[in-house]
Amino acid sequence: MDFKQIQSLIRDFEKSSLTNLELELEGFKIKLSKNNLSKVHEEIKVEEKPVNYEKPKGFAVKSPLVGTYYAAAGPNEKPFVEVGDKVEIGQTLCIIEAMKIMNEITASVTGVIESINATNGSPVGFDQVLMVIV
Amino acid sequence: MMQNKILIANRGEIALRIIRACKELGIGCVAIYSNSDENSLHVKFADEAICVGPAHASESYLNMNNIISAAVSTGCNAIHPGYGFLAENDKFATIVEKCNLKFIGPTSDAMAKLGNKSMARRIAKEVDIPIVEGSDGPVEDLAAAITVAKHIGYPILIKAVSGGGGKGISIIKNEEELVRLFDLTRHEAEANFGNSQVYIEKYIENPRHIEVQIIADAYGNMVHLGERDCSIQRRNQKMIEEAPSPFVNEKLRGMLGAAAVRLARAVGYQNIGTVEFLVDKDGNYYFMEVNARIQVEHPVTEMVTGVDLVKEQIRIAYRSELPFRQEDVNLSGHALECRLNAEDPSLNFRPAPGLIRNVVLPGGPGVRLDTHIYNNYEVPPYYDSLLVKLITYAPTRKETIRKMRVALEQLIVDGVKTNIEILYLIMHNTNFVRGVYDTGFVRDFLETIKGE
Amino acid sequence: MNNIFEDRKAKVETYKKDIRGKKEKLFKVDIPEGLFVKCEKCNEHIFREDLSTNHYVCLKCRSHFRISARERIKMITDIDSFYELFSNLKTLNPLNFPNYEEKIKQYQVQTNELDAFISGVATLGGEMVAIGVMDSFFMMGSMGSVVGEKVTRLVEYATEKRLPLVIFAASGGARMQEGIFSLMQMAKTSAVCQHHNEAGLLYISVLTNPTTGGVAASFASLGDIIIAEKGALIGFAGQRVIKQTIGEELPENFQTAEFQFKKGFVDMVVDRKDLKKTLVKLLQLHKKAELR
Repeated sequence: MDFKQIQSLIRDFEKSSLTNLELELEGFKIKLSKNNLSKVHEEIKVEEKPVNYEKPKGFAVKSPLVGTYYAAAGPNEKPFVEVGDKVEIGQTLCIIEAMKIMNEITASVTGVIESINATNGSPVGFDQVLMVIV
Repeated sequence: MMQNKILIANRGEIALRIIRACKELGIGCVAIYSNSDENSLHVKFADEAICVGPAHASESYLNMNNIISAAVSTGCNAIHPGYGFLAENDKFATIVEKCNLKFIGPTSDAMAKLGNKSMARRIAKEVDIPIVEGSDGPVEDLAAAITVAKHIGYPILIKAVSGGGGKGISIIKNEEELVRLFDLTRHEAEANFGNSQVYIEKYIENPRHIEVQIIADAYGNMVHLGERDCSIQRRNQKMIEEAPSPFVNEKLRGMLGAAAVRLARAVGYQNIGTVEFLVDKDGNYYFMEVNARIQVEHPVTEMVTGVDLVKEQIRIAYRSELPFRQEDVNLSGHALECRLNAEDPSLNFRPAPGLIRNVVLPGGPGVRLDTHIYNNYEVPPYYDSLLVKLITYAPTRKETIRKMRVALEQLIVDGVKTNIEILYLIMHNTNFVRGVYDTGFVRDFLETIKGE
Repeated sequence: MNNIFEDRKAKVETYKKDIRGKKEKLFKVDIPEGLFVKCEKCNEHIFREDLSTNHYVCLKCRSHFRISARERIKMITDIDSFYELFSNLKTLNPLNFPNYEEKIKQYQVQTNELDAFISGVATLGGEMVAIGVMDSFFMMGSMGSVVGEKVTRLVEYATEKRLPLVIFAASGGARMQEGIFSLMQMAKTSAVCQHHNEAGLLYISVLTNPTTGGVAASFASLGDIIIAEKGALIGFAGQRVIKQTIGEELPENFQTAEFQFKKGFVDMVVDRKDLKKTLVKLLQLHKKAELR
């Protein structure tokens, strides 16, 4: 195997969903493996859900606080995001006010807002789904 | 105009109890729950419910910030702490007050004074309430402990100043044991309550645990509602309570009640509380501590007095006057409460959470059930194991006991192990039926049945 | 199974709305402002009283909050031992910089101080010291003529009275509205620190968050012993400028107190709860020492 072939093998392996690959040819041996920590995390998460849980499509933005949900920075301002908007990691999605302290909730994934599940000015609880990003 | 709305900072049967009182008073109520209590009955029956954190109590039911934020954002103007959790946390009460919310209970000031055991004893002494002899305040070190012990005589108890729930207590029979166990007890206190201070008390063997219910409004009207006998305890955890106590006569009742009210007055007490006493075989009573909250066993007092304690708590917090004076209080009949827990008596009463497949509840005149369980309810492993409070009430003690036997026969909780058989056996025990028992009863009783 | 509860709730709600026409409106209790503060590092909400009893350090992540000069003096010096000196110096506008006087006025009202430095004498653990504290809430603790002059007078006083010197630095650098006058303070304060040094006296400099620019490059770095508060930002130029200039990535924790300690720029990093006793110990150890 020449260097270019090895490069293309590595690229293909990376793109694939394989986590381990061992290849042995005449006079050549290669072993590739991926550290998929995030995958392990997800698996644990699913096990915690109750029996009749329907796995939602997309990433659920959950409230880390107990407080009041605000869709915009102020009463007369435009909401931070609307359904259909593209969002990037770190982008402000909404504000949760707890005891007069404003807390910006930012996106931890890139994607499109599929739904907004909280109402402006309403109380929200811990882990309550605020939005779904696909 | 601000409407009254109460946030219930608790869970399980007491949360449901408070919801009922709120609804009867026409006051809105908001329940809080942790991730593992989503299907709990109190969540289903409150007007609104809001999640305040993950399963572990320290992050949810003890999370002051989240609870207060929940109250403010749902438009509540009061918080009812229930019992346990933050109910006797004077810092929580202070923050609640500072946030312009009503704390349904005593003032943070009274709580702070009475929460410190050695301070409470000092106050009791000042108003001529007999206290168990002991060190006047925490003991600095082993040397001081030995001196105090010599003065009051063995056997003694080493107790944690900030303690409760039976932890941080050691029984010491002689000086050798004191030397051996002093530091160990301090460590236990530090680990359980974050405060290693301990004080010393004379140990009274097998006393009766008798407590007096007090209630006071914000205008200085303080009333006692009689006593409860809570001597049926396993390792300092109450199992069966009754009102009135079969051991207490009119004279003792008067003295206990008067002492309780004197203590309440000394700290300007408001709302509801319980003054605990130890009573020895000769009828001498000694002040123990004050529980500045509504208690688990409050129903037995409600049955014999006709007073709805939780409704009165709420009314008092909203500045109503107590609708009765001491002379209006009438104790009539006899009430008994059995606590049914999810525990396995054959495994040393280890908690036994799990799925309750089926519930069948007893009924009939004089049978009351305070419970949050229902068919297919999953009992979570993170909190206490109380499932059902079964209360019976009848004109005489004999009839009440009979009623309890029948009720226990008709109470079926299928799916988790419970202590129902132990309760049933105690209901037939000669000494219990004669009303002759003290805090050593359960220990001796369990020894007896182990032998069988 | 859940449906039985939802169904019942829906029926009761319907009854209440139809038959009794109940209307639901949300009235929120007005909680006082500033009862809770948010930790900028870990986002934890802290009850303000808890914060002050905990030396203004986050209870969860131990991030050190910025504190005012007066608060620092209260925390560090023995009770009622502080006597203020040179309090009457006020800033003018030597370069006629536009809006400078308005800005000064604004900060004076906001902080209740005349400028960004408080000087005086006090005892720490019984030891008499000349003490100065910068206030980062006053125009970012920037050093102009008044700050420079007060530092100078304080150090001269300490030299004359043969007192050890403790200065708490907290600054974004020289005050640009006073141009060259601000820069000159660097030379002035450095010179007077040298006199104090030549007199064989002890100077402990405490660097707090943030200590940068002209202050870091003058008197703040001239202590016989330089203490940095845990997590403080300490440096001269800003990170962005450095990155652009050298065209390289900066190491992690660049310009933190811990980083500076590793590189030998500060002598020790101290958690705020241990600061007072550390200073007292150092003062006691150096009591009779001649540092020539």
